[in-house]
Amino acid sequence: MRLYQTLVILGMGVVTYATRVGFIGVARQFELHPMLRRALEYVPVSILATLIFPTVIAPTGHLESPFTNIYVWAALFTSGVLVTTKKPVLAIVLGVAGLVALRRVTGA
Amino acid sequence: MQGNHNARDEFRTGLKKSLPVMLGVVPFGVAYGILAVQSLTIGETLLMSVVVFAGASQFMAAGMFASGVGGITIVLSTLLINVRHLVMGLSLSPYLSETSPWWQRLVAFGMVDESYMISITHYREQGRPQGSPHFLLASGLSLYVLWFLATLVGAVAGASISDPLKWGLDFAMPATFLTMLLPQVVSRRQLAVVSAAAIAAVGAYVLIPGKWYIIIAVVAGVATGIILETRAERLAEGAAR
Repeated sequence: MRLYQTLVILGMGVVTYATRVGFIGVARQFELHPMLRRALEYVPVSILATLIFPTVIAPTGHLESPFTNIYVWAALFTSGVLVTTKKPVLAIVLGVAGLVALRRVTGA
Repeated sequence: MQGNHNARDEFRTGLKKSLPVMLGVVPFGVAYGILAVQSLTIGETLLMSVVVFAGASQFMAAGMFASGVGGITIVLSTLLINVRHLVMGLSLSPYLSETSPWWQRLVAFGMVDESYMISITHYREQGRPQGSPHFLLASGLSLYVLWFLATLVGAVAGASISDPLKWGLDFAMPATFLTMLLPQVVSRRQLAVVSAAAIAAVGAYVLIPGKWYIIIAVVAGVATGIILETRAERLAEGAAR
């Protein structure tokens, strides 16, 4: 391993751990304001939205027509499988397979 | 506090509930390994999975190393991508307020997007004021081991596989998160929160360089939820009068 790359990677590790440990103990030290507690209720779904929609709607970093964007179709297909079968693993597998198939067909 | 029996049960449940998301983690880890060995040694590629353990920032760093970006920029970009962990930690903290600081520091290392989502959902479903740190530990630890192994496979196979995107691996992660999101959209308010966060996320992602879109979208989602909740309460109060 090279020194420079190793140091950069260790630096990444330090800042990442700092973000993880930073607030996890906050409620042990302070009483959280009721308003803040309520706000935190909406954090998980909001984070999920940020992890899904940009990569699906703008996979190249730019807005594309949703009709020609195969990620949108694959996401709709995944959702459809999940809603009808209630099986998340099946939905993920078929969704990825669907995307591969769409990529073959459209050549995108 | 809980007895050992409960701790073991929670650990086991944590492992079990992490199984579905492993499906998304494996291809992501393999893809990272393939990408990273183009510019890093196998040892450096694995070291990053061991000390950083954060998919999106590892991908970004692999790309930045390849294009010769400076180390300070790589570290600062990592910090920026991972600022969302602060919000995630804050939202877990009420459930871990009776957990000892030592345990908090330990389980914090394993708090990645997936283990966070699984744990916060589990704690809420339980409906108890405190959550078990053993659950988060099990989820984080299992994903950590798997992330390392997937990286190893990708790093070793890296030379022979040229384009991991061809196999749809880039869609495995959003598909996994999608299957976690949909069951949570059970009310009109949740739908509004998700819509606001989604619109803000895509808008900021396209318009603003960097990773600010994550924080912007979380603020938009939370603000929408609070506004709708407050309005619903006012209406209920008005009706009661």
